[in-house]
Amino acid sequence: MKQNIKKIVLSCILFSAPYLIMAQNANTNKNVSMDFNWILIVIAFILLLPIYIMSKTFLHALKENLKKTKSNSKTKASLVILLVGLSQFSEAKTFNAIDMSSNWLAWLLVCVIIIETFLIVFFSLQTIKFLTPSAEEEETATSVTAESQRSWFGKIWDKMNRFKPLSEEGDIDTGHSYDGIRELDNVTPPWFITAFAITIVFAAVYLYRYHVAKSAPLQDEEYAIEIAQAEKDNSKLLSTEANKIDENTVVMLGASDIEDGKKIFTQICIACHGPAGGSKAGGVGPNLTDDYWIHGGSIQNIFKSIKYGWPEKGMISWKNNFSPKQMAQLASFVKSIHGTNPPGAKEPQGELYKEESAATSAATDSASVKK
Amino acid sequence: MSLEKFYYDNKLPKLFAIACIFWGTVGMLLGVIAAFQLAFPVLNFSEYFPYLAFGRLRPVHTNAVIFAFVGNGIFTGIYYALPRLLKTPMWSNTFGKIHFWGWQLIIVSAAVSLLMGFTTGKEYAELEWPIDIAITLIWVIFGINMFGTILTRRERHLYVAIWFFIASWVTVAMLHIVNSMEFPVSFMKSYSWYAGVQDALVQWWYGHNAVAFFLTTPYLGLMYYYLPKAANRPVYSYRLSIVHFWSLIFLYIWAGPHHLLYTALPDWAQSLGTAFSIMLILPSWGGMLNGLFTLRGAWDKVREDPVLKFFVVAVTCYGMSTFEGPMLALKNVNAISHYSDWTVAHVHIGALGWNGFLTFGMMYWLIPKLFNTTLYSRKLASTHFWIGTLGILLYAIPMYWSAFRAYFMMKAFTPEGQLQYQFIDVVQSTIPFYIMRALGGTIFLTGVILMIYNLIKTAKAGSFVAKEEAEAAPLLKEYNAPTNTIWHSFIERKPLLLLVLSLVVVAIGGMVELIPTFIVKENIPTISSVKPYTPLELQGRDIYIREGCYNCHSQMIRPFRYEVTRYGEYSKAGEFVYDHPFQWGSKRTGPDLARIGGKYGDAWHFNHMLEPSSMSPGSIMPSYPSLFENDIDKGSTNSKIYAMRKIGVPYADNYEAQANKDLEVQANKISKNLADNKINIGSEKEIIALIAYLQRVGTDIKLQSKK
Repeated sequence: MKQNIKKIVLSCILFSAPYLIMAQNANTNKNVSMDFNWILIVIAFILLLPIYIMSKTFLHALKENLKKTKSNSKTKASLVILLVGLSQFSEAKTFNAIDMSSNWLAWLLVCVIIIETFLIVFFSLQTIKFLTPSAEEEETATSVTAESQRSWFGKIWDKMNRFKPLSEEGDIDTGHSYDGIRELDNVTPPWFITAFAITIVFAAVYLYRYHVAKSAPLQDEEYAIEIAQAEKDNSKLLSTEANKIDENTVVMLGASDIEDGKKIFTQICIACHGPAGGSKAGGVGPNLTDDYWIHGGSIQNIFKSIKYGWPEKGMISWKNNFSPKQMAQLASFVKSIHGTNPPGAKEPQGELYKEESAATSAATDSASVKK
Repeated sequence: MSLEKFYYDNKLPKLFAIACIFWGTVGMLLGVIAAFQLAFPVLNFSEYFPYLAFGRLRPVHTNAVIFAFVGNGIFTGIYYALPRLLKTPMWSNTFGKIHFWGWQLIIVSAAVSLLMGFTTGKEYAELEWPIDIAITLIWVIFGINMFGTILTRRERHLYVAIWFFIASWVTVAMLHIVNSMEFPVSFMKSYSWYAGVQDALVQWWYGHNAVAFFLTTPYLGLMYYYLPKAANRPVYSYRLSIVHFWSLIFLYIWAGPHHLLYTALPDWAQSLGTAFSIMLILPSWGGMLNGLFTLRGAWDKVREDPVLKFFVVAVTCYGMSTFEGPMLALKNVNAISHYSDWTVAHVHIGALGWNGFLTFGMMYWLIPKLFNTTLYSRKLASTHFWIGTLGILLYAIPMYWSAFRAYFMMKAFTPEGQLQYQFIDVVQSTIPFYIMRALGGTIFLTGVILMIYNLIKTAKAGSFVAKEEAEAAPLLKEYNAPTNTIWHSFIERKPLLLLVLSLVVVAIGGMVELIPTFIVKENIPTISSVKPYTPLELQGRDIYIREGCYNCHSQMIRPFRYEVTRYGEYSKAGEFVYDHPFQWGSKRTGPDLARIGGKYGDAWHFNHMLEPSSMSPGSIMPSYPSLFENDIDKGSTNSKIYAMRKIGVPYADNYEAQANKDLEVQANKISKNLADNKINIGSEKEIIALIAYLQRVGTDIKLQSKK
C-alpha cells in the first residue's frame, strides 16, 4: 500500500517536470484553434504509455538475453542510447509542439504520432526477436516449463502486470476466506501505477494551464477566436459579386434562379405560407399571392423581410440560413407567384401594393410602408 | 470454542430477484417503445391521451431501469451475499420485508405519477416530494438492516464487496437528500430549492454520482462476490482493491460538472470536472482488472460457462465505459458528444453491458442455487449471451454513427457563412439510426425473455430452499490483530469507521464544488433585466415541465459559432436565476429552446403544438391536443407564487392578490392576438400559458441590449 502511494507520487513528480515547463512556455499560444490538435495531442500522449511499457519490456528482455549470451556491453549501451534518445525525442516534440501555430502543430503532431507508432512497432519487433530463442538455444532448452512456452505477447503481458506464476499463488495468499472466497495479494500492476500517475499529472497541468498560467483559452475566449476567424474567412467571399446583394441592390432574377428559389420555398416556407404561397384561413403566414402586403411588396422589401424577419409578427430572420444570393432567389420566386390565386387562400392583409416600373418602385415602396 | 447454528434466509433474495427481472423487462420494453417513438411519432398515441408521449415515457424508462431493475438487482445480490460474507443471517427479516414491499410500492407510484405528469423536471430525480420522502425512509430501513447485520457478524474482517456496499449506501443517501431539496407547492408538486446554475450543478453532481454509486459501486461489490464464486478462483489482488476502492469513491464525486461543459457553469467548476474525470480512469479500471485477473487460470471455464461469459463481457463493458466517460469529459470531445446520441450510446454500454450482463450472470448463477438444482439449459443461456451482445452492438453502433453525423451536419457552414443544414434536416437523416437502435434494443429484450423462460424452467425443476443452515463461531470481544497486516485491515474491522471515512471522502469533492457556487457572487454575474416569470408564464413553465419537454429540448446555447448562428446569443449564467428547477436538458432530439421567445408568432406555436409537422414538415415531435382542452389550473397560482417567494424569487408581498388578474390580462392578450390570425381559443386553455412561457424564454437579455 505505502509502496503504491509512494510510487504514484514519485512518478507524478517525474512526469510533471517537463509538463510544467511546457505550460509556462505556452503563453503565446492563445490564438491556436485547438480542436483537432488536442485530439492529436491526446493520442500522442496515450501512445507514450505503450511505448513506455514496450521499452521496459524490451530492456528487460535485453537484459535477460545478455545475461544468457554473456553480453557484449557495446550493443547493450548503444541500444539503450538509441532507445532513450528516441523516446526523449518524441516527448520533446510533443511538448514543443504546443507552442507552434495551428497548421504547424497539426503536422508536427501527426509526425510525432507516426514516430510513436514506429517506436511501438520497433520495440515489438525487437522484443520478439529477443524473446524467440534462436535455433541453437532451442536445442539446449530441452526442458521448458509451461510458463516459458507462452507467446511473446503473453510474456509481455505477464511482465507488464508482474504476474506471479499460478503455481506460486500460495505464497501470496492473504489467508482471508470470505464464504470460501480467498484473496491473493498480487502487486498492483506497474503499468497501472504509471498510468494513474500520468492522469494525475495531466489533471494538474490541465488546471494549471487554464486557471493559473491562463495559457489556454477558456470558453468565452475560444468563442471570440472562432468568430474572429469566421469573419476573416467570410469577408473574402462576401465581397464577391453574387454575395454583395443587399436590400438596396436586389433585382428580380431570371427563370433558373426563380426555380432555385422555389426549391427553398417548398422546403422551408410552406410551413407558414402554404404550399402555393397563399397560406390558408387560420394560417400563420400571410398570403403572398394577392395584391396586399404588410411589409411592402417590392422585390427590395420582400428581400428585406426575408433577411431580417419581422419577429414580433412571427416572421423569423433567415440571414443565418441563406446566402444573399439565395434570399434574392427566394424573393424573386415570391414575386413570381403574384396573382396565381391558389384555392383556399388567406384573406388579404396589409396595404394594397401596385407594381410600378422598376425605376420608381423603391421610392414608392418606402412611401407606401410609411402610410 | 462452540459453534453457533443459524439460517440464511433465501426468501428475500428470491423476491428481489423476481422483482429485478420483472421490472427489468418492463423498463426495457418501455425503452424499446420510446426508441420506436422517435422514428414513428404516431406511437406517442397523443391523439388519444397524453400519458404515453415520449416526454413522459422516457423518465419512466430511465427510472425503471436504474431504480427498479438495477435497484432490485443490488438488493438481490446484497441480501444473498451479505449474510454469507458475514456468517450471520440478515439482521431483521421484518425490515427486509418492509424494504422489499416499500421499494416495489415506490416503483409503482413512481411509474404511475410520472405517466400522469407529476415530475420535478430534474433528470433521474423526477419523482415528486412524497415519493422522495418514501425513498429516504426505505433507504434508511435498508441501511439499518445492513448495518444491523454487519454489527452482529461472525466474521471479523469486512470483505471488499462490503466496503462498496457501505460506501454506496451512504453516498446515495447524501446525494438523494441534497438533490431532492424542494419546496412543496401542493401534494405532488414542488419546486427545486436551487435555481439555474446552482440547480444544474447540484443536479449533475447527483446525476453523475447516481451512475457512480447506484449503477457502479454496488455492482462492483456484487462482482467481487459472484465472479470469484462462479469462477472458483481467489480474488486477484487485495492491494489493488484497497487502492481502487478509496481512489474511486474519492475521485468519482468530483466529476459531475463534466455534464455541463461549455454551459453557463463557471469555468473553474467545469475544469475540475474534466481534470477529475481523467484521474478517474485508472481507479475505475482497478475494478475491471481485479475482475478479469481473478479469472487467470480459469479462462478455459469461461469458454464453457455462460455465467462467466456474462461476467467477462460485463466487466469489459465496464472498462470500456469508464474509459469512454473520461474521454467524453475532455472539452473538445464533449463539444461533439454533448446533447447528441453519443451520450445515449455511452450510457447504454454501461446499462446493457455492465449492469445488464452482470445481473444476468448473477441470476444464472443464483437461481439454480436458490432452487438447489442446476441451470435448465446452458445452451439457451449461451444463446442469450450472444443475442444480448448483438443487441448491445446494434444499439450502440448506430448511435455513435448518428452522433458524428449530426455533429458534422450541425456545424457545417456554407462558404458564404450560412448554416448548411436546417435542424430538421439533421432530424430527418437521424431517423434510420433511431430505427436500427430500436431494433438493437428489441433484440436485447428478446434475450431477456429467453432468460426468463430458462430460469422459470430451472425453478420448476428444483425445489426452493427457503432456509440454509450454517454454523460459525461467534466473534470474541478480545482480538489481537496479527502484527504483520497492513494498516487497512484495522479499518476493515471497524464498519462504522469505514462508513464515516467513506462519507468524509465523498463529501469533500461535493463541498469544494457546491459551496463556492452558492456563496461566491461572481460565479453568477447578475443581469439586471432578468425578471421573475409572470403568473401565466409560470403556469406555462409548469406545463413545459409536466410534459417533459426537457427530454428532447435543451435550454442552453453553448458558445460555439454554429450554435449561436442557429439558436441565438449563447446562454449566460445570470439568465437562469429564477429557474426553479433549471431546464437545460441533456439531449437535443429537438432544437434548443433557450432563445425561442419571440422567434415565431403565437399562431405558429398554436399550430405547432396542435400538429408539429404542419409548421415543421418532417418533425418527429408528438402533438399535444390535450393542451387545447385542459384549463389552466388557476387555483394553484397563489401557492406557486408563495412557494417561489419562499425560495427566493422576488415577487412583491401580497402579489397573490394580483396574480390571477395579471394572468388573465396576459392570457386575453394572447388569445386576442390569435383571434387576429383567425384562431379562436379560450384564454383559459393551457396552450395559452405554454405560449406565454415559450415567448418569454431567453428574451430578458434582449431587453438589456436594447437599452
